[in-house]
Amino acid sequence: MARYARVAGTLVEPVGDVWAAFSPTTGETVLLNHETASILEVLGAGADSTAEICAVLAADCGLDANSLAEVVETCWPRLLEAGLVRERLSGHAYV
Amino acid sequence: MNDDINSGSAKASARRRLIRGVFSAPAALTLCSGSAFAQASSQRCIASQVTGESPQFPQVGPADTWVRVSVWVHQNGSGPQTRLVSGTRVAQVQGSAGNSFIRSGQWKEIAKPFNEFIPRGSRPIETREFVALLVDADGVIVGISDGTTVGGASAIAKSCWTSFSGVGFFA
Repeated sequence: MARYARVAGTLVEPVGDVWAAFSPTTGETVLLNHETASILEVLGAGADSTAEICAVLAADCGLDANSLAEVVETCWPRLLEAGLVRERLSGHAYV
Repeated sequence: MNDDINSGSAKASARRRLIRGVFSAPAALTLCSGSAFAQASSQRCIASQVTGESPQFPQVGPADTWVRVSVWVHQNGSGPQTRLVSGTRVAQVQGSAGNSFIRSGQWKEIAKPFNEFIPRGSRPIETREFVALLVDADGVIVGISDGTTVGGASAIAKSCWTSFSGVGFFA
């Protein structure tokens, strides 16, 4: 099972009704909706798998965790590309 | 009271802005870097202008870049002015890297073949005009945009300088 971590030094700030996230890896700023920013927020709090993240967000939204899994799963490639998230090797500590 | 916004110590929370019963598709849109865009735009402009109007100038490759430096002029008595680039200023741009094109303390004429110029009588005076140094993909300075174009105000049209974000000495 893939595990993820928020890239250290990533800054996420609210800008009106969206979120601006700066990646120190790419040097770029990305605009996020609430859902994506929430995923980063939960990642930063320690959850590191799709299942764990869905469980937390499902509780926030009042939805079934399984119904979120597919949606959350599809966002990883974009977040990895944007330099906001990195894949965490199993059994290794955060760097 | 919404402590996301009003409390100086509270961190804004995206989770608290989620709407119950809804979880939309996550979206992440990368903003275009303004300076990168301006750099690309200005470099296309300069490359087009210099290459198109200065057949003496080296061919501009896609990996080449430009760095702007100020123009200096030297007046030798009542003779014509000589337009120059200061090696000291170039060294400030390049830092410790240095280059074989122009050394610190050296002056180069802004005209091919970019001869070294030794000021006599008076020191060159810095102007508010610019020229562009052409730097190839290896970081080697290969030429100076010659100062023969665009009404004598600059080697590069003013419209090109507007978004030029390379290292320069004037805002």
